[in-house]
Amino acid sequence: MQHIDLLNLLCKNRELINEAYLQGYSSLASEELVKAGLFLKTSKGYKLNKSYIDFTDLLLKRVDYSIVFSDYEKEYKELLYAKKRYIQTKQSHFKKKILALIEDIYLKFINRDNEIKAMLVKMEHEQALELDILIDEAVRVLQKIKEIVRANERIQKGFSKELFGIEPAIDEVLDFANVEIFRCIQNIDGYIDWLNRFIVQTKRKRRQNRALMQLSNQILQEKDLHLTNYLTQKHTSLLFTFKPQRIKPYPSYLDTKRVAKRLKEAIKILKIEPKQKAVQIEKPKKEPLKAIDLERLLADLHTHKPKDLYNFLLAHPEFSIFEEKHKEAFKIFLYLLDYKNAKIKEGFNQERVRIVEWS
Amino acid sequence: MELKEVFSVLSKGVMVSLNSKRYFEVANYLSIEENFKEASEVFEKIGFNLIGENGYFYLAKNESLNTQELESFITTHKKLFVALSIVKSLFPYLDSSQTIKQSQFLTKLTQKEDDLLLQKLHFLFGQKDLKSLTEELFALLQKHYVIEKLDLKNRDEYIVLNSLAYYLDILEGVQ
Repeated sequence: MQHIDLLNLLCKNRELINEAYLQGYSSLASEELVKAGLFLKTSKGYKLNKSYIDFTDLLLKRVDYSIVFSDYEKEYKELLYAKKRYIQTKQSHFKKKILALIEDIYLKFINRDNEIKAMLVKMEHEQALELDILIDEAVRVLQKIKEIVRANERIQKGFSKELFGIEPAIDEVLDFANVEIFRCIQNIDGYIDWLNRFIVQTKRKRRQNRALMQLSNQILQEKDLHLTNYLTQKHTSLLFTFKPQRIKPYPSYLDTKRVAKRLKEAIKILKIEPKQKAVQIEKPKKEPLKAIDLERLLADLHTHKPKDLYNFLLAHPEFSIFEEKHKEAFKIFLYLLDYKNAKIKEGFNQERVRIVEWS
Repeated sequence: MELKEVFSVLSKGVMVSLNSKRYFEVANYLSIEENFKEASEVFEKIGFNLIGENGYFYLAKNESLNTQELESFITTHKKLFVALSIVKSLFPYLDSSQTIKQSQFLTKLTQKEDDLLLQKLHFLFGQKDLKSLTEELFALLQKHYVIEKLDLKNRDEYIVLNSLAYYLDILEGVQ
């Protein structure tokens, strides 16, 4: 089978393959798919080839926490052997092998960097796992990444010490690979920092959740004196709720419908006839216009210069015509406060009005 | 934004969070150091401490509380702790700025069939059906500014406000 045939086969069976990828297996798979090695027959049904799942996960940046990080030990040993043989024989076969192995290691670096990145993103957004399991996974991944650091350093040093200077074509490939490998090594430091922070935060969250459960159980059992004491002591730094708050949940759609139905029924029973009101139009009473003579009042104020303005106004004959003498006197009192002659003093008189002196 | 507007919000007992749509302006105003300092000085003169912590702000009374106030203050906090423990039992990862759906909560609550959870819900809201209990729980959390509707038209999805950390900090203090 050619590559183009495989692509056609994938395309033709895309629905079935997608179903198997999402569910883990499929109950149906054609002979052609099994023959191509895409599906394996099991007791449950047809299972997608693990290599296909790994390849797809990598491209879709979906990784499993159980991923096992491999090192480059095998490739590196082969590389050193090929170098030795090339120096001895100068055969182009070994040169090609060196170039292929460098490329292989380089691709492993890139793929692993992508895998770790995807794994950390998955961890950050994890919601399904128990916190305990997630912490265990994070600790395991951190341990693995630390092991990778050692393998990375060995490869980087090995490339520089062992392989540089053998052949210009090899140096060229090494130069290119080293730049990318250096970037991946730098990324790893960031991943370790992130994982350490993530583990601390997740452990803190687990501790908080446990404490919250414990406290809520104590509240239910009324064994929460320590909380009451804490809140009482710390109230000056805690939220003051001002008024006891009543909880009003939003009525559900059914509740609203039920109330509306009952209201309609009640309205049907009631027969409300509009009452005709006998309207009597009263003519406005004519009242004599009462007003004070402000000029006379001001002249009297300048003459007497009272120590208590409000009491002076109350006693003044100008206000004797009013039924509500106090009210009118207070209005004029407020009006006169704008005059320069009005000096506001400390204290209040027997009418509980501020003492104001007229000068 | 003026100080009197800030006070009119905080004096209602509102805890404003920087990730709240509704009170973003107030929280944002207080997140500026100069504004916070000025507001603290003014509010202190009238008997309140302005507290600003990890992205949320509120007023505390700097005098002793009367019996009714103290009772209300303690009861409210206790209710909130029980409510949060219920939410965290079903959503252990829940944190500030994450979203939570009422419908999702109801599904998980129905599936879990946990007697202790039901006991806690009945403690808060009395004997009611699961749907009503869920609605009341979300209403309580919203009333106390722990969650806020993501969109006013959407009754299902809520955002967790920064003020969640306020209750978690008390929790650390109590331990």
